[in-house]
Amino acid sequence: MSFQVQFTPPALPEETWLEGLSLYWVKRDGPLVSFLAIWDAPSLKDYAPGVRRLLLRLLSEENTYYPKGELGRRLTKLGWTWSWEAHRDAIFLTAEGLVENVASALSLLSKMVEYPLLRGEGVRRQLYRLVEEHQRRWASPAYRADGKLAQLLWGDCYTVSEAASRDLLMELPIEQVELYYNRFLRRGLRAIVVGGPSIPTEIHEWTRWVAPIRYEIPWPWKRGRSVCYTEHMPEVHQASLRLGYPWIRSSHPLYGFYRLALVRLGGYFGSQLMQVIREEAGLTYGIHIRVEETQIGSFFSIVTEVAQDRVREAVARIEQEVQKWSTCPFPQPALLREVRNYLLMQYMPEGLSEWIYRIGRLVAAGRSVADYVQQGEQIAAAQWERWPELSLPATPCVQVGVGVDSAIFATACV
Amino acid sequence: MNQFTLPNGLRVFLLPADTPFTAVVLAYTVGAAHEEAPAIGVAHLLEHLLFEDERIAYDRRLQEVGGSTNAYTGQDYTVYYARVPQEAASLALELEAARLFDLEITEEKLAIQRQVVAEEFRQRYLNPPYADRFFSVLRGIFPAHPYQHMVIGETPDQILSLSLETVQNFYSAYYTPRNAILCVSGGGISSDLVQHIEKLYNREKGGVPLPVVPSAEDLPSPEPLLTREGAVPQVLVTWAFRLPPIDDPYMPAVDLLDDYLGDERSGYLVRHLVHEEGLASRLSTYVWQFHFGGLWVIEAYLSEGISVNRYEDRLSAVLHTLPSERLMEALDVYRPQRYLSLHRQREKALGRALALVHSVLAGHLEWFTEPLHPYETLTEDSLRLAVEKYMVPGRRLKLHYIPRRAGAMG
Repeated sequence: MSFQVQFTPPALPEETWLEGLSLYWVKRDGPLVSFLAIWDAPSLKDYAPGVRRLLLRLLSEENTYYPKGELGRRLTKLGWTWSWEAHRDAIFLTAEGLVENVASALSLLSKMVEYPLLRGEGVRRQLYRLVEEHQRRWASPAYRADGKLAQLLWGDCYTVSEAASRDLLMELPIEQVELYYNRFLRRGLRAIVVGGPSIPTEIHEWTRWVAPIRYEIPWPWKRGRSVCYTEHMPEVHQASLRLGYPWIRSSHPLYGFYRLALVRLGGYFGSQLMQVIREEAGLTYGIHIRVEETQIGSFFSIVTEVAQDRVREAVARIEQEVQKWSTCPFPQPALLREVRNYLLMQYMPEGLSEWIYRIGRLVAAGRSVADYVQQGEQIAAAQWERWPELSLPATPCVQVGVGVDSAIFATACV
Repeated sequence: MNQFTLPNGLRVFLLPADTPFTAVVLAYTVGAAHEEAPAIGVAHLLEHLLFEDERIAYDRRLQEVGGSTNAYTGQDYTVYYARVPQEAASLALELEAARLFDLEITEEKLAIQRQVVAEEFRQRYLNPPYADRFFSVLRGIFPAHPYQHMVIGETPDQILSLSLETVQNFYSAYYTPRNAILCVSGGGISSDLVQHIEKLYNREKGGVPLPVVPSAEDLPSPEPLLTREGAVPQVLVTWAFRLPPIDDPYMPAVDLLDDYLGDERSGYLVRHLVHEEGLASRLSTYVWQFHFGGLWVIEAYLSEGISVNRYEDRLSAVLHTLPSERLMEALDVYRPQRYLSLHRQREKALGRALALVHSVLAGHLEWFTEPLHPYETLTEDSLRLAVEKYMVPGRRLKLHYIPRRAGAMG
């Protein structure tokens, strides 16, 4: 007898419109409040690599309202934590802490947004630290492969700082940081998600950062042929492989089915790639799928680190598995049942912190919570006998190998 | 919370909650510290092999019902866990019992998992810059002690040399009910489930007593200075201070002080050495605690042009003034973070189960039932004494990680 996980939609947020700001509130009893603010703030090509990273560091650590470090100390003392995060299209401020201090915490967070240090020697010092950190990461083949992949996938449309050289980062025009801040952080706030006993009244103050903004992202993403990049690093012990494929948007009417197919390929321990590449062949410790969607498109990537002396075998086997998957992601009904149950469990977040964050990601991607629930229901209803025709990619559009020689891919490499 | 012990010695804990999810955790008081040379890394390799018995099909059968599973190995323990829909709690318990009593390890599966672990070794410790430093630090801090080895093993080749007999012997000797702790947390905990546990787990299984891991307090002073060279872009200076066993009364003070010193935005050392003096581009501190000893680490990536001597002189000077600082600030600022972490950890069934299991593994169930008590009773004096006792040269190892060449630059 086969068991089916029942999909129970998570608590739906109450949605209100506050002077141009979308406000989502999920009632949360208990000692914690979660807070998430989302800015429309893309990594536009008008700005140099590193501008947004430097800005987030300045927002987090440098402030003109309090002496250095004092704002952070005050928030920490209130039992709150916070972090800034940049996606290609958006900037997130995530915070969580003790309910009794929510008013004071939100007031401090708003000062963090209002009064960042954007000029002077302090900015230069943070840039220097950022460059040193980049240099350390860049020495890791895995980071380097991620950066090159991002550059090849998104570099036509966005500024990609992950693959920037040390010299380029060092030459970052500091004045661009303030320009970016004024253009996007002071105007681009679009949504706030709160999980707490009630909607904190302090949120009204945040509407001051809501205003119309205009920008254009070069469109469409196009490449005449697939591209690849290889790099030999003599001292590394393992090859970092990244294979990028075009993917559908989450607004696609059959997204639930596509999601099931992708999880089958590389989204959990029992996935096709984990079973074949790790469990049968012992070629890697891990192999998984990563999806990145922006307002102009979507890609998924296969990410793995493999034994250097077996890298060709790994590439061949991965390509073979993707080929098989693209024609028939679920050769047996039991496989679909397994993935469906696994994915439904992931669709039901346990605990509100996780759910608040997920709502934020949905909102940033222009999706609604209703879409999420609908996709969950589509996944729950998926049947092997009525599996729809999907257009699954069979060949990668971008291939990256770091720690390898140049002959591992069939395509000629850049 | 309900708890009982079966006649075979298995300790069982139940944490019911109103949720559709259930976590099943089986922890063993067996870890890397119980290995004997040349079987270094066998505890971790065995952790992999517990997922590989095709007759039990642990992963596949739990995945069929939507479960997620994983495991981790430490110096003092190995922990296996599953998160499943509550309807599948009994299945998770059955499969976990099968792995405890009836595991079969084959040469074929071992050969593959040895390769997988060798790749894990390269991915975690050889490919990322600086990551191999931990091997030197443990050897230097815990000379001739079981904690001197990293959990994963010595080298990829050494892992590839582990034999089927070695792994089987380790499993048969130590994976026994007496060395295990079972915790079920979340929904679906009923009297039927308790009977199910008794039926599945109340079996005898032989074994031999675990080797005793001595306290690291009796060891000679750590090696004072180690130097490594590698394909790294900057100099990394590591100071590691040997800590006492986990239940030392000063450990909560060390824990809080660690935040106070190394908070990446405004920690005491970060403020002085990174923000004000610009000696390092990044400085961090962390506590790496085992049951019978541990390390308190201060690490800094030096800014270009800063010599190791200059940085170390300033670090010594700043640490020297620490006991005379107003350490009350450490309590005021960082103690509320303990409340926050506690609530976060307990929000999910699996988080609660893991917190309980680790308290029991350490022999202190009260750390689960009264987790904030040690922090509520801390005083400024106890913080000062913790610094004076444990952040001292006689407990310190220094490691200088130096760039060998300029090739790894971006």
